[in-house]
Amino acid sequence: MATELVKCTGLYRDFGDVTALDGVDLTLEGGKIVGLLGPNGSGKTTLIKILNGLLQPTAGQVLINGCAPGPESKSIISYLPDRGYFPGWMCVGDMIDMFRDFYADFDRNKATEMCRVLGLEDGQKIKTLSKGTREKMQLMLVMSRQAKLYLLDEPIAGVDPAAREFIMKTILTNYNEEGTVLISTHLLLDVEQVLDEAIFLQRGKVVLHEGVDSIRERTGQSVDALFREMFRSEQW
Amino acid sequence: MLGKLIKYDFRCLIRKFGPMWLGLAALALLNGFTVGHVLESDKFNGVLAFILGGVPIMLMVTMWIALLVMMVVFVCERFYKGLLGDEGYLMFTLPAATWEHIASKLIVALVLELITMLVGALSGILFSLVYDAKGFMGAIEEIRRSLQEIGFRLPAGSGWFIFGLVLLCIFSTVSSDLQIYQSIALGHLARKNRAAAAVLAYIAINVVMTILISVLVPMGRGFMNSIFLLLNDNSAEAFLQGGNRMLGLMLGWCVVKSILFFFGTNTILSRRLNLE
Repeated sequence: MATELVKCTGLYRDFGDVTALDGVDLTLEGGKIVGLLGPNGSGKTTLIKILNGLLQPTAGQVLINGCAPGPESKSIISYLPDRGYFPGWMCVGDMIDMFRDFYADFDRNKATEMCRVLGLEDGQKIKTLSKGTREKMQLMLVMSRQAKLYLLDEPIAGVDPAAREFIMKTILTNYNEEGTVLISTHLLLDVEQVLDEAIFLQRGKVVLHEGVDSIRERTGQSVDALFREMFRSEQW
Repeated sequence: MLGKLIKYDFRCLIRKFGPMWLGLAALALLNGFTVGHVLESDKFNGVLAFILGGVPIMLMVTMWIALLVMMVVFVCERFYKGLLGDEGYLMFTLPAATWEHIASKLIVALVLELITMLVGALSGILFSLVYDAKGFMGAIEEIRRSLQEIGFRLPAGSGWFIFGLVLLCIFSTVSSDLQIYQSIALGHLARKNRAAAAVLAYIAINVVMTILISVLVPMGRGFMNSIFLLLNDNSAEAFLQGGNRMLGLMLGWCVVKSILFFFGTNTILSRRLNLE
């Protein structure tokens, strides 16, 4: 039986005159890779922040595995934000220790192996790493967890094709297959082949939520082609 | 989770302040030596005396000023950047309650202030021991003998007074730190210029507190007068009684402020968190 991992009901969020989310109703089940797709400013990051409890909705309700965002939901969510969050004073080893201390589902061996691939050592100061390496390290930490829900906010934005390949490979080879991965992006071409479902977000509204196979069958075109057609006039 | 949060905040504290504390203790030792052997000696004069004797003193004074400034900056920065800046994306996605984040920052700020105070006292003792160990020990012995000679002993109930003083020191520091957190949380409600809004909130809180005191004190005039009467009494027991009442009053005020600021900060960060 399918279980509701994420349930959003009538979610609304504004920032003064700007409406970021406008009545989002959304249900996600476990064991899926879902694309949260939309042009810039469509509300993807706002929705992910609300799911994480980093932002409060103006109206509406969010349930993660049956609970409102809080310590319980945070223990099952693995979140990759669209920015660096490392404290400047920490070393690589400190960050790994921190994840191991706070998350019961953190796999230290997996993290060590990924560190080896990235050429990182425990004693290295994070602030001495390049921006690209810091981003990869952040992804490494997030994907070293056996989380129920991965929220990945624009993981492939602003990186070169080689890094994109590394990122997608890291995600696909390390995620917990019983969990759900929600990837927000507007670079659909790089992720389409791995998605089970696609959510199209336009001006804060969910305009489409459907399985990618069903989209292809119904429209006779790829999800990327449909996305381009629907958002042609929008700024990317 | 609170213990784990404290562990990492404490690690940060030690990395930032550990070298400074050790440096200040070392400088106290060095100054104890140079004051005795360079500045008060005929062997060195002019530029050499300035370099060997004056520079270490200037260095120590500068480091103490820097440490005190860094302390204030640390208390503000660890809360502002650590929770409401980019680091907040890490901290607020950890499976910890908001109150635990606030408590962790507060406890570590308190430890910082306590250790700095202890380093100050230790530096004074180290300086005195190196400068003139015999004179220092002699002075302590002299004070002890003088007190013994005049038959000085603390009046009954002094223990509570001293305990109250220690509690007052702790809670006034706690309420000051929490006032900073409350101001930053209020500033966080602003859509733009949050740092400036936090400064304004800090000033506004001070104004409100001053108004509250000016309203509350006349209302308790009778009680206040009884305290002043006891404090002006010649007997040590009466003075102690008045002192205890005054301490209780001040302690109560600090505790009330601390509770208000803690819950105020927790409410804003729990219900109005907005990491943009």
